[in-house]
Amino acid sequence: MSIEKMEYLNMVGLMSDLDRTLEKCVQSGCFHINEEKDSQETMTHVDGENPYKELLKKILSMDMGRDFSFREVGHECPEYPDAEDIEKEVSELAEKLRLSSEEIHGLESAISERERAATQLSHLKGMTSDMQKLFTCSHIMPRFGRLPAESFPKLSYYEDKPFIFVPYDDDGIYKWGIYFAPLENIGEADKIFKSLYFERIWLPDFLTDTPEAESEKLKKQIESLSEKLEEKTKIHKKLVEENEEKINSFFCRVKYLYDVYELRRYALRYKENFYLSGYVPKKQYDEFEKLINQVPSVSVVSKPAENDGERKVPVKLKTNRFAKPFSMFVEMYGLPSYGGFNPTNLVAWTYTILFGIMFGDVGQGLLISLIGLFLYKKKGNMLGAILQRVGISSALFGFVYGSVFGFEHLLDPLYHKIGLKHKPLEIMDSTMTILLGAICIGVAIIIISILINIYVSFKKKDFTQAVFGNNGIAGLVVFGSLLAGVAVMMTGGKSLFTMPYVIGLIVVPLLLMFFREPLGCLLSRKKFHMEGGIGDFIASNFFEVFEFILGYATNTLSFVRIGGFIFSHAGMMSVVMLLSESVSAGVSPVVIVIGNLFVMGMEGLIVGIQVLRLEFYEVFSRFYDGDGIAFEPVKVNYQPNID
Amino acid sequence: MNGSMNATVAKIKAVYGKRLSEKDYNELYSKKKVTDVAEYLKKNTRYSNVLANVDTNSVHRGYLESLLNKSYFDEYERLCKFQQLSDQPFFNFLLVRSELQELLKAMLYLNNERNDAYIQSMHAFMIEKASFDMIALAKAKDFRELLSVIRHTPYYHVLRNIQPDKNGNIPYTQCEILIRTFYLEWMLETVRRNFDKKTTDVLSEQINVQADIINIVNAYRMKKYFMADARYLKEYSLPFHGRLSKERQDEVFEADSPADFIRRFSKTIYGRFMGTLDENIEGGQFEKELEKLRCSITKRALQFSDNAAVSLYSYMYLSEVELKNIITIIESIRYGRSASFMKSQVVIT
Repeated sequence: MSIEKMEYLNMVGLMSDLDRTLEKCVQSGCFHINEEKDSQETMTHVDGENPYKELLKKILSMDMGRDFSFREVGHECPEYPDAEDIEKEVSELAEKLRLSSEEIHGLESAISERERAATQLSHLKGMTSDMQKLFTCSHIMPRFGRLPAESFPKLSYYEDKPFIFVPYDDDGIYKWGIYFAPLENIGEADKIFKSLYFERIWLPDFLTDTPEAESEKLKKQIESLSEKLEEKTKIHKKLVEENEEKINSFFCRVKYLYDVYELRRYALRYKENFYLSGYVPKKQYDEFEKLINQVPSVSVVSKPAENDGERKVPVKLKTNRFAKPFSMFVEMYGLPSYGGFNPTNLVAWTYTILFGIMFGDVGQGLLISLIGLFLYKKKGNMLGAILQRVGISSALFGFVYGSVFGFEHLLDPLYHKIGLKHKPLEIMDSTMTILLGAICIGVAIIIISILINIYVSFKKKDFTQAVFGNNGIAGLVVFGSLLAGVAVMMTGGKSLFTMPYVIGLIVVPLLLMFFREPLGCLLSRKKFHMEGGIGDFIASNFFEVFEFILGYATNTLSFVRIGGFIFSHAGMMSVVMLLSESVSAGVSPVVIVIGNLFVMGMEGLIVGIQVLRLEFYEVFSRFYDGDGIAFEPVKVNYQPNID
Repeated sequence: MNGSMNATVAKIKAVYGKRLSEKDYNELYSKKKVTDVAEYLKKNTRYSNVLANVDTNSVHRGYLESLLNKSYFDEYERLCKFQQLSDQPFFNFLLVRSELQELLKAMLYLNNERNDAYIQSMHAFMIEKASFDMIALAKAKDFRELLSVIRHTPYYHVLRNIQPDKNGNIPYTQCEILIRTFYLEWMLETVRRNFDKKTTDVLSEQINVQADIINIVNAYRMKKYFMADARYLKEYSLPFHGRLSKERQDEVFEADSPADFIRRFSKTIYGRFMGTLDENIEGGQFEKELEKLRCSITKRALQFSDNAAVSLYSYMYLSEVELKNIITIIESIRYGRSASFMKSQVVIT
């Protein structure tokens, strides 16, 4: 139901045609490939290093600058159809780019070196000694640099050694300074300071002036080098721009060849033949066959997918335009199994209606819908498409509650025009109606879910679930009878709970539920094995049936939240209105706007989550396993990476 | 421990959430230079603050490791200070352990007459924090001088009866057992005195599991490399038992070969957790498997804990494993080891 019918295919052809066949599979866009296992000694996997790997690596490693990103331009590359031609072109281009990059990097490192020197000089500004004199010492050697602050206390260990460390600056992380040692001991001192992670500063040997003057010189050099760097970067950028189309075209062609070659691992080899299997949607089968027939040596054998009982058939959900975005929620829970029930339409309608009921406001609904439209069109966000739909539902229910951005009487003239005295539903005066209405909606949803479970279980020939389960016929009878009895009692009618009613419609179905496993086996003509003895059987089934009964009550009451959120929305908007009245006329619109945005953001999110919770826990849990696997046609991934 | 420490628990869980992911490790394995590792840690991980002022292009490997070690200790202090936990004795567990580790390290270098090497490897951040004079410890020329440095600390009573041999060599293994026993006893006693029963049970289990694993690792090393007999293994094992009872441990120690050791160990509760173990497993790999096991026990304790002491103790262990992982990666890159080797040495926390 609402799941695309699949054909299971086996393809056999000559090994020499394998790559061409795989290309056709990719081009079809509708072939889900199976991973084959080596079943016999004669059938082995096709292995071998991908010959396009190195070329792809070369293309990806070209230095095109930070602004460049690969984009998809199609796999055809008519000017350079062969990988060898592409390789030649890529090598030439890569060399040009490398030379240009090297020049840029050279300039960058020259700038960075001078910047580091300038930083070092800035720390020397605290030093008052004459540097020229320091450099010309012949018996005492000075070493400039920085010592990690945490290594500093370790120096006291070396107090008897012939060196001294004079710090002249402290940035919290490092102590900047000089150590001096006699010429004959400088080696030992160097070794000690190295072990303390002292970073030596190699000051330029032309440093003869004061640190301030040297800093000024370096600044000028940095400026001149930066200008050169800018010029070279422009040239590099131009080179990339001129070749951008070519690079993208090469990338797409090579990525296509690489990814198609990677598909070889799914094939099995038998002497000079290959074997492939997979699935194609039935309605696209003819088109696919036509494409594959272009490879003469390949023969295709197909059969309906359900006839292949060995593996799980991939699932492609069939949905209409309205329900399509809601398949996101279904996939979040897990896909249905092939031949199972696709709940997307059910989710789409129930989610939209429940959201509208719980968040009814004409203005807010339309705004949410517009935001959704924007998100969907601009970003392709599926949640945007869902917001579009639930927003409209919210606006429609807003007409029932007569609420527009929290203004409860703005629509009164409209109601009067169509002959109504007031709004159809005054929320705060209809507490019981709303709560009972919420429970009725819950009952309807639960019954629909049970009916779906009965249908699906019969289809799977699972009689235990279909007939005797808590979500099967027996469960439906118990749930329906209890509800009918309670409803009649509440409306003041004569109690339905007579002895024959209780025994026939409640006790007997409960007993059937208690013995559901042996009875299910009996219907399926299977042997029943009691695990853990009779005591265990009675105890576990007693508690399970007890839990089923409790579940009917709690699950039904769970839907009261629908009513709760109607009140909560009305209540929050009335608070916003009260706040707006308590401030000056100038500030009032600001309060209304912020209040509306706050309620939309917070309550909209909570309602969205709560409805999803109802879908997953109260609906899906009754009939849905979500153990299917997704239909994923083979395709080329045009992302700049090597898998 | 009252509920007001929930803020610390929440903070620890938040900090734990920032640990290195598998993706981070994969990135690190692919680095070719130590400076690339530093750069990645600085740009993409929670170590960015520690490395913020470090020039990753020129940072020395030793200094990088020293910074990471310091950040590990700083984080412990930060978490303790968050709600003034350091006022309670248990929360000094890492400080006590670090002091004891320094003491053992000093003895090891003393035996090798390499005082200068000790001062270089000493964690500099401990100089200010330790309860004894670390510089004096580094300057100690023999065991007597070492004892005089720690004279006023409880560690003195642990080591005072130790007699160096005629060459002045300190019996290191004996000292290690005494110090570890002292530490674990101190922990168990502090836990018992200061916490409620539930917390005591959880922490005691972690401490005893730690002792079990130390015993198994040491015994396996001695069996594999020195063919030590059961009597020797029992004599040099810690007198604590977690999930591995004394009887079961003795059965493992009775093994007549390293392969038999693994066979017997596989039948213990830890062995069953670890799945099938190759009898000829490399010593280092066996230790990694045990570390993985301890990590998974600790992770579970951290995830289910609502107690600051349990959370901090568990977190600090996991953080220590992460630190070891990074250092392993740095060392592996330094010695040109492959990515697959690094992967086999790393225990994801």
